[in-house]
Amino acid sequence: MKLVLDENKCSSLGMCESVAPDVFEVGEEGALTIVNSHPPEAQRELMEEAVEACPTGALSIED
Amino acid sequence: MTSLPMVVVGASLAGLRAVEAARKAGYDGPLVLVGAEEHLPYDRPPLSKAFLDEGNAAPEQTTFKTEEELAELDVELRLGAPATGLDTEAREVLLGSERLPYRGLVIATGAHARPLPGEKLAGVHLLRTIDDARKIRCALEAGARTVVVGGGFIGSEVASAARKRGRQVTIVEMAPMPLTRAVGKQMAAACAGLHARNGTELRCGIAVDRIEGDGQVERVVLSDGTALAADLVVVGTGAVPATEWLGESGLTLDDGIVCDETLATGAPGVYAAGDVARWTNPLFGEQMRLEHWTSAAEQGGRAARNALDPDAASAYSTVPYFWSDWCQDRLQMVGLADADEVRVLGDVEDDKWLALYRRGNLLTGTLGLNMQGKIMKYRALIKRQSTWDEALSFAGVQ
Repeated sequence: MKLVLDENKCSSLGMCESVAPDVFEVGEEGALTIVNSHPPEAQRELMEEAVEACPTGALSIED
Repeated sequence: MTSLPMVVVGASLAGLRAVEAARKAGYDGPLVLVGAEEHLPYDRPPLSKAFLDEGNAAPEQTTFKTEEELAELDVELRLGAPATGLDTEAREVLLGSERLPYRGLVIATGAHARPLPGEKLAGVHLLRTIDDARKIRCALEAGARTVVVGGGFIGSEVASAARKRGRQVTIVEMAPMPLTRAVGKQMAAACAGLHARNGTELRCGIAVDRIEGDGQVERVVLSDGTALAADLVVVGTGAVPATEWLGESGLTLDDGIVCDETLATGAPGVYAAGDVARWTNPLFGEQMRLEHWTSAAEQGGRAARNALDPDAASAYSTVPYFWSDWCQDRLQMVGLADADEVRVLGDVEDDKWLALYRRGNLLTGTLGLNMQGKIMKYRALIKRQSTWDEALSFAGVQ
């Protein structure tokens, strides 16, 4: 599983961080970092939740 | 035997998430999505933000899913078909003269922008739908002198959009200070101060007496007799939950549909989600009705799963979250604004600050200006019901 961020869509609203703070973090400068873009398969459901939580549709999962 | 459909009334974010969740939960029976507007489900936050900006956003870009993508979900779309009634005993939704039976129902009809009383002139707009947003965008493009009635988030965002285009804009707010309910009295003053920095004129504690013009709006006359010249007037004086069609339904209505912790309305199989739902949020043990993107999305999914399997219904608990973009600034609020104490970290004259809200000995809210890197960490603290001391310690001020 690979997490993909569309930087043109992301505006750092932070919902992904709220869902999965170990994987996503909005930094001090306000830009989103995917801390781990290949999370373990066991986290798939949580990652799907993070994708759905994004108000700008900036995240997706590539299998 | 044909099985009755699962019905979702309201085809915006909460309604869309409801049908998606129903399929994701494995429901493969008939599924109907009823919407009052002709449009496919679309995203509303951009309408008062990027959509109004110069050179931005073709209207279709706010549509969540194409017709083909919705077809893949095998959803029967009934758009442009406002629900007119609900018979909870027969388990039927009324669409004019048609009766649509349901096995489970999610009500997600949202809210209407509160209109101004009186005759409507051309150039005077509410902002709730994409059709409203298109008209406002056109007027801004044409160089309209703009008056915004109501200093809430919608009004503030429209004013920001006008300023970004270099238009002259005045916000008229009846209350002594805008946004008091949303962010509390103390921080409302700080937020109001941002308008001055952006060149927006803010007139508080004064009412609109009348809007004048000959067919097309020409001026807004205030209660002290001041006349503000205007080619565009945007009225942003709050939203009213869309429950007018439920008057005879027997559902409990009180500024929204009153629901329990699981979003159940009390009528068999009927759940509510989004702006129309007033539910008990177990995290704070109180009733609330939110008009936020995040809760609409999450409640839509939860209501659908609960409606499909009421015996396994689970509560919806959340730390409310909203954001608002004003010119170059972003405000973000998590939690509740009604507090015993508000502690500002930083200087509200700066372009970055945080404010922590305390109730009893708990951290219950946080408001940030340009604090994207911090706000969700505080949301996590609130969710964990962290104490005030823990929050101050996290903030490094104790």
